[in-house]
Amino acid sequence: MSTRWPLSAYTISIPHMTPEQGVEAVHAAGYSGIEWSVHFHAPEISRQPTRLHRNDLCFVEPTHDAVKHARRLSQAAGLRISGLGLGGQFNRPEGAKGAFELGEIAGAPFIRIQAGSTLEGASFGSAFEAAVRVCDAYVREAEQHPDVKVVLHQHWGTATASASALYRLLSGYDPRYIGCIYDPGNMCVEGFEDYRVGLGILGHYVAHVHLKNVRYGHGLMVDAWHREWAPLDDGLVDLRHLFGALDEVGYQGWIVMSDVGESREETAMLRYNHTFLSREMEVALHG
Amino acid sequence: MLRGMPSDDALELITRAGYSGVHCELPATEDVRDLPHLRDEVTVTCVGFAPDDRNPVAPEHAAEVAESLHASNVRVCGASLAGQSYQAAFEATLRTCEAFSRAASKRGLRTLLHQRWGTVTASASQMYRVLERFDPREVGCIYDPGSMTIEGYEEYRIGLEILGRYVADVHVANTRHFPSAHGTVWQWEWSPLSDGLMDLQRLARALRRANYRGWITLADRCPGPSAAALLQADRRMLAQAFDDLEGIGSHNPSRPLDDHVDLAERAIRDIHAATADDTAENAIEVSAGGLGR
Repeated sequence: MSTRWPLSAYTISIPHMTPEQGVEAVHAAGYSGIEWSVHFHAPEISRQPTRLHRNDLCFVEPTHDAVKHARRLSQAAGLRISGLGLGGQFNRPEGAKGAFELGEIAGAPFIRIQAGSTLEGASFGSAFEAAVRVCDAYVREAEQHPDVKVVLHQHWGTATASASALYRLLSGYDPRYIGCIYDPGNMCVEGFEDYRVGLGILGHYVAHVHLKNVRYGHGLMVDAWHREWAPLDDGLVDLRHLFGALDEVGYQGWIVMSDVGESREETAMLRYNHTFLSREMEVALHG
Repeated sequence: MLRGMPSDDALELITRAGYSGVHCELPATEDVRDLPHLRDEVTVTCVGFAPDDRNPVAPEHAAEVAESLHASNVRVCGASLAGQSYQAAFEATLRTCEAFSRAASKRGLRTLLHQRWGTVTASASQMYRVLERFDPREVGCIYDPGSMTIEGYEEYRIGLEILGRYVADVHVANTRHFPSAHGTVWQWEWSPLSDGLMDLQRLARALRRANYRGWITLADRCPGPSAAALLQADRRMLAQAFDDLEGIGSHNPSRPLDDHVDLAERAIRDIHAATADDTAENAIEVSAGGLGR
């Protein structure tokens, strides 16, 4: 079934599959793209049990050979690479050149970075300036790499958690050379602004959309509720409102399924979410 | 939270429960000649008009009412996006702030932009986009962690750093969220201060760190308990958080409070600026919101 926007699956959602199993399962579930998580595992991580962000199996190491292999695997399975989710070593100015090279080798239209962490107590001002230094380096490098666009990931715990904070940073740059990943799931942790407001502010900077979900719960021995990852169909993200807002601004990019709710077996999750997202798009756009 | 109650009864409840100020949320048709005793018994921190997100009263009249109650602030809200583009709503918000600021400034009052869900100023970052065009002595804001539980949450420490000395008042309220009976998207309801997303301890620490010296305004809309019971229970909750009394719920080991971090350069600069020209109280005082009929 074709959808208003092409659907891709992010490999962080399928941590128990090998890359070979992953491409087969993603294609079989109906997605037309795959988004690769690109990172190294430190030796101590490989001794941990496999799960989300902990010794996951479905990723690519940031080397030219590994990325070439991922490209071949994806093509053989009939999948386009929608983007590369680059790991922490690329979230610094020195990472820019290598990041674009990997994007070109993969044939990926987008490379994802994060910047400006506030989690370890940095002030907003210093986190923002750190993010500016990273973006400056990427934008300078971008002119040499017309086929790959760098996208800054809207992310809780950074100086760009909300759409308006993202805009404050990105407005200093030409949207031809840098864009953002609009991430409604991350916003439920920090930075939620109504989708029509956020997309209205960000305009042409929105290049890519990631979808995950979050719900809130009452913890033990604490007053304030906590946030937890949730399956796409059980949380705060209002997909119909989102798809309506994306349609309103004429969004033309990918929808990247990044479910980290860990509530279904991964093959079943891929299929369920493809059906669910297709239906929600249909209802949002055609009633 | 005291809406619908005769003002005499409300005043007695507020003062008996230990609150020293009141945020007056008045119906647009309120005849303020009925309320002169208010100003003699408590500090009227701010005057706003219901429905809050529509700014139903003209700037001149709103400022006049605030002046007659000896309030120091008059409240406005940002525009909603209903039926218009973001840019149009943003510009409408700027025009509202300009008009209120003109009317309020000539009476020595400050205009406060209220952070509110469902408007183009739901988050601290969004508010800053508007506020940066104004002198903070003339236009400030009401920072609203209760509203943020619905839309606009940015880490308190970060939001307060972004807003700096624009923050003039802090409203506390709470919501909790639950799965919908009709669809896949969760819904929310107003809830007690002790049971929802708002993290009072974390907020108190962020305010202390920012050297905040203004009002804390209780805006509890939790249905059920009587106003008297809410005022008393919430006073204890607020005291526990703001006096840093340890107790169950006062520390969540999985979300460290980052008190060990030195104040940032920017924050220090802003605090100096604020203390130099600010005559705000030295201690945080608590006021109760929503007086009116």
